[in-house]
Amino acid sequence: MAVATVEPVTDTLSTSDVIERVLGDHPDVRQHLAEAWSAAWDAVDPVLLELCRLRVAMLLGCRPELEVRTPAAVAAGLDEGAVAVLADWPRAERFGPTERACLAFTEQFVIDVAGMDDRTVGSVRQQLGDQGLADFTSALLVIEQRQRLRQTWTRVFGRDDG
Amino acid sequence: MAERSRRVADGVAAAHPLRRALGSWQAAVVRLDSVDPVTTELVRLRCARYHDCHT
Repeated sequence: MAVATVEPVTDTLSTSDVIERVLGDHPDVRQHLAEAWSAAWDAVDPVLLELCRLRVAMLLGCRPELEVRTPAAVAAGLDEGAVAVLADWPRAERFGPTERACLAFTEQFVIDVAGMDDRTVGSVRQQLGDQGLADFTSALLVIEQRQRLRQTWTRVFGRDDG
Repeated sequence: MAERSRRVADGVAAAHPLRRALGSWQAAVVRLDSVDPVTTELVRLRCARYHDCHT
């Protein structure tokens, strides 16, 4: 069996570059992931999804994802003041009920998705409706898995500079 | 097994472009063949247990 080689993955690379590097021999997988990523941003309010993407990055310790902003969210009016207090969202007054519901859902999704309870789901449904809940859940799946892939690949293919 | 209540109405699913893209991505991953089928299945089942996925 041929052994594929992958150029080292480092924190200086964007997530798109990491995906390009690791999935270089699998353009179909790369393309479909890119399409899912694009569809996620089309399906959900990009500012809301960006806050959740950044919260996922905080929880996973994905620093490169914390340092970038998704253009669709910036174009839609992402407030850096909100980003600055995102880690403290339960106590920060600037977040409304929709952001709170979705951030609580996001945290449970990342930490233990099997433990998601009806109340946490119901809060999102109350804010976004049934269709919004379905869209948000699928978009969040793409957001979270993309970051987990990056984290995993960085560990597996990362360069040891030490 | 914990009791589950319905959380969305019948017939509700993610927007078609997103659902189609997710399905295509997952199908492309499943088509990868550099890991043997038995190991792949063990990983799949382990992931299903972690995610409490009964389908």
